[in-house]
Amino acid sequence: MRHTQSCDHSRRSFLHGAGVTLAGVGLSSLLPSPLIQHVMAGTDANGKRLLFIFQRGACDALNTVIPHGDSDYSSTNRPTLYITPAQALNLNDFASLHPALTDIKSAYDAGDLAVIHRVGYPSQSRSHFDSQRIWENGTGVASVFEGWLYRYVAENAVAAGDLPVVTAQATPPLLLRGKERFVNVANPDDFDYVHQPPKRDKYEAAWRRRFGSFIGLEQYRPVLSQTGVKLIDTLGEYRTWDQANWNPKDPNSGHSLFPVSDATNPVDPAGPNGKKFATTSYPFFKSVKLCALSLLESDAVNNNSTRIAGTELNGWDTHDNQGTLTGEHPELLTWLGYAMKSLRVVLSGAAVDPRNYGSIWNDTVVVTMTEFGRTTVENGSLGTDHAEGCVVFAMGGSVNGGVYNCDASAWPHGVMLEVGGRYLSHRTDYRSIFWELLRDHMGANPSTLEKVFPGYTALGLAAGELGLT
Amino acid sequence: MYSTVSSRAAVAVLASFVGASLALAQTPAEVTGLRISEAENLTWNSTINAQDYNIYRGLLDQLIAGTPPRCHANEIAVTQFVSPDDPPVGSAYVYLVTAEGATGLEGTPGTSSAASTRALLGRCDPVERTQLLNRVTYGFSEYAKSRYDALGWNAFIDEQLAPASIDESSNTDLTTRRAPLIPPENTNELVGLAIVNGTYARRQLEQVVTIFWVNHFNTNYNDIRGYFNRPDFTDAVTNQLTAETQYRETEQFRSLAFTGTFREIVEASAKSPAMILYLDNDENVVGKPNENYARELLELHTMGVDNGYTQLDIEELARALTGWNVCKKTDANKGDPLAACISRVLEGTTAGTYVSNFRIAQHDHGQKILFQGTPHQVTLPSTQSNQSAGVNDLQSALDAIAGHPSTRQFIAQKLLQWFVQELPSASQVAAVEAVWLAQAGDLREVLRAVLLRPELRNPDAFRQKVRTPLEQVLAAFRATRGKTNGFTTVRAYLQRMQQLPHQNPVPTGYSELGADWIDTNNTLERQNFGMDVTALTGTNFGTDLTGLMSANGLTTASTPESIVDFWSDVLFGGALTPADRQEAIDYLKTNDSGVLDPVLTNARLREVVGFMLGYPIYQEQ
Repeated sequence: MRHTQSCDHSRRSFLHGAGVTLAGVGLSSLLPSPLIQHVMAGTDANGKRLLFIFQRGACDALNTVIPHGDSDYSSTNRPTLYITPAQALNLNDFASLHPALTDIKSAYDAGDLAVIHRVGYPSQSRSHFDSQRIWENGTGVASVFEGWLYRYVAENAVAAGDLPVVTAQATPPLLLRGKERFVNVANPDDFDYVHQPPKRDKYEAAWRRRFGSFIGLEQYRPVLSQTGVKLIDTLGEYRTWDQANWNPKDPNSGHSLFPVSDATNPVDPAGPNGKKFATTSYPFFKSVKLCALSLLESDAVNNNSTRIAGTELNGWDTHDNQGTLTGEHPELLTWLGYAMKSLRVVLSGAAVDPRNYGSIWNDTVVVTMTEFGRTTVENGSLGTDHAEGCVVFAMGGSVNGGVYNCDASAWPHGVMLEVGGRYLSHRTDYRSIFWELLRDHMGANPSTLEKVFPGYTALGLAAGELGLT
Repeated sequence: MYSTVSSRAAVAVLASFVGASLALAQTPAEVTGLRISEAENLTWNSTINAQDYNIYRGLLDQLIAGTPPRCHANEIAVTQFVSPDDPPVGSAYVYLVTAEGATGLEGTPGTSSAASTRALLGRCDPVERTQLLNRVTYGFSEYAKSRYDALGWNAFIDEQLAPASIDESSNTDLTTRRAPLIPPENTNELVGLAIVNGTYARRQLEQVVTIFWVNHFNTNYNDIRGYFNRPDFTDAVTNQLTAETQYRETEQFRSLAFTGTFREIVEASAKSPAMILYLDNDENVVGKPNENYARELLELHTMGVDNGYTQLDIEELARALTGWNVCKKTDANKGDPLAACISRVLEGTTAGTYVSNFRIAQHDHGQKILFQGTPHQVTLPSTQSNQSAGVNDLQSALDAIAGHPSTRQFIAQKLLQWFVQELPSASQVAAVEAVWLAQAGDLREVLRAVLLRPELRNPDAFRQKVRTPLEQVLAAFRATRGKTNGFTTVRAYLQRMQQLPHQNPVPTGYSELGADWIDTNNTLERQNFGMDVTALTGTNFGTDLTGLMSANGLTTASTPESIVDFWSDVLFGGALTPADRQEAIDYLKTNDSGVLDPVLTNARLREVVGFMLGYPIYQEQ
């Protein structure tokens, strides 16, 4: 269901389109919404999938989706970091993509990519750690150590399988922190016991037998036991995925979609060591690959039923030598762009791949997050410091593609220095994006949403942000 | 011996009856929230040969489910005890008391109605010893156990607080394995040093606290290395110089942790080339401030996030810290931040050290005001007319910050979290703050106040924290006569467990909250580490389990029960439930296919220890 809407509608224009009253929140899931094409709530929601990528360190929004329509984006404010309109990829004659994101332009042109600018929350924290926690706990305060996505999964029992959630990162995100643990794979190639059967079977059976009941007065005993059983439950399925030998390729270029090794890294004479990507990108691509595979393996035949997968990409804290067209920030953008393009190819069944997975593109939304944006004015170290409004990408076959919050109506001159004379102000609360995603894509009902984002619906904030008023 | 079960079970029956007897039109719902609201006052008969008594307490429902009472209070000198809190709603406490003689011999808990000795979740003394060794050291070792048994709780802490008094010259395990790593020539050797010190040092607290400060003032090898990565340096030189900057700050922290004040240690970090490079203070210059270090100095190193400072303070502090960078100076000049640097082209051929350096022309000489409008406001006067005095802005700023009450609150809280409990109470924090004030921030005395908190010794705090990966592998080495050169295999495990010292990319340091370390990956790697290290007997990565067992009279001819009980004592202070114990016994009694095979082998003896190292309880401390 490729979707062809004009690419210039803002949140505001969408607000008008929806035309639902606040009193109608209970019915609103039956109506189209700005970001996501509507799903009948509660029907066929089981097949819906979500894949997130957290850009940790705070990505510079203004050099990612560039507001060329605002004269505050200038070589005066950014003497070395300024990118000209001619260097960038025009989106809507106001906003442009950083040229390092050229790989996601085709998704945008096809209407599969929503670019949401000026995302944040009230009383923004400019501490990485507090702000990440707020993005992940869904409450607006930093002191809560439970993830909003955990609450969604716990409320919905997303699927009956063993693997409703797979994350592939160093340690699991707070986003999925709660009373129980899901599967996190930090080292996909080493994710198995050192012993082989029958010794391994003896070990697994003894461990499961002994720690299958999650009791204990010690505060962590139940979750330690549950995590170990979850691990044993998972490994049997995980082995069948044989992720190490999965190497889907791009039908046009013939390149591996997931460059996880020198052998799969496309040749590029201009790149590091004659390859397209630095070797330091391999762990990220390995993680994205595992996320994609877990969602593709999630079918009725297997009992894993993975509906939510996610990973992270570190290194966006560019206080110095950020890089303009090349360098740290642009390099990370090329990784992100290539990963997103690869996800679109492989999840839509278009990859060259003997396994011939079918398309799940209309059932999947890929979404990015980052804790805040960076200062409008470049600092003295060819970099940028912590600020507020940031950019979120949402991509999928059911996404209403386009630019949100970055056109003349949603971006009056002055917003780039609106907060404290230094920071881009936010226009959309991050919760409203995920609120909408859970409701209209995953099919969450109002009572679930209220538990996922406590108070958010009740305050009318979600309704307001979504344009339902 | 005297044991008692509280009368709550009887009361529960009574209350249920009352609920059911209200025969109104509708049948009432089940009675809930039933409990006794008064603390239980226990008394028992004075017992012959008893010097004091140990109180054990369990929950009735857990007792039925197989978890026996555990140590609740140790060494009560009278025949009376008031249990301080109420049981959870809907449950009841079960109490059991044993007598302890003058030599520490503990009397029997008696026999149950089934005529077997009543089970306890570990005896008070070994459980308490396990708690201290887990928190103050990297866990049980034969040496640490012997010192604890000789000294007791307080004197053991005192000895560890005086590391210079502990002889390491005769500790050949340490000295021979450490020698090739000093000074470290690359990051692997620096990491190896943390592993070798942590495993073998008798000055355990010194090592634990050093890692605390390394973690608190986190720097990352991979970020610093860029500075030393020059066309005219070989990779080996780049690696060596990078490791050396982190090694030097580590050793400064090691020394100041026992001889210095917080004010001194924060200055050591601020002037450490590793920190200057890691948080970009070398990029922070007049007219072009870089806020990175100023923000983290307040948020992470001193006051705590949003705890008494504002964005304006970050900006003012960043200005005060302008002008500092790193350069190579001759040894004659290295202590003087204003002295000349060796010119860049001569660095490769001129002897000297990379140190902090102050550039007068890059400093913002305007007036700065910190904590404006608060009782703690401090003005750093303009140095326009006396520009070399700009070097003192760093001192003045650190004086203001280190002296701010938020700082002693934040650091006290963090130390308590590391050693005592994850969420220390406000009164605990206040007690440590009081010592800080009285002792002018003396780090050793502050640490003593933390370690002597009664909460550390309260059985309710035992096993309520989770070992970090580093703590897990070091404890496993120490308990098993482990062998490590600091590199082989263990580094790869720590990397996969996501905790290589000196290489954390984020300035927070590694988390001290258990929830951050529990996931399928860490569980898998911890279990694999246990199985791997116990299966091997090599000198670079392995264990000498059979040696340790035979020294304690255990061989393949011993009973499986005696072998498991020995390891239960070593690893858990004996605090295994009967079912956990039995599972290990069954594991030991069966072959690889799980079939009963009573002929024990050394390989199976080793393997059962690996199995026990994978227990959930072993991730706790």
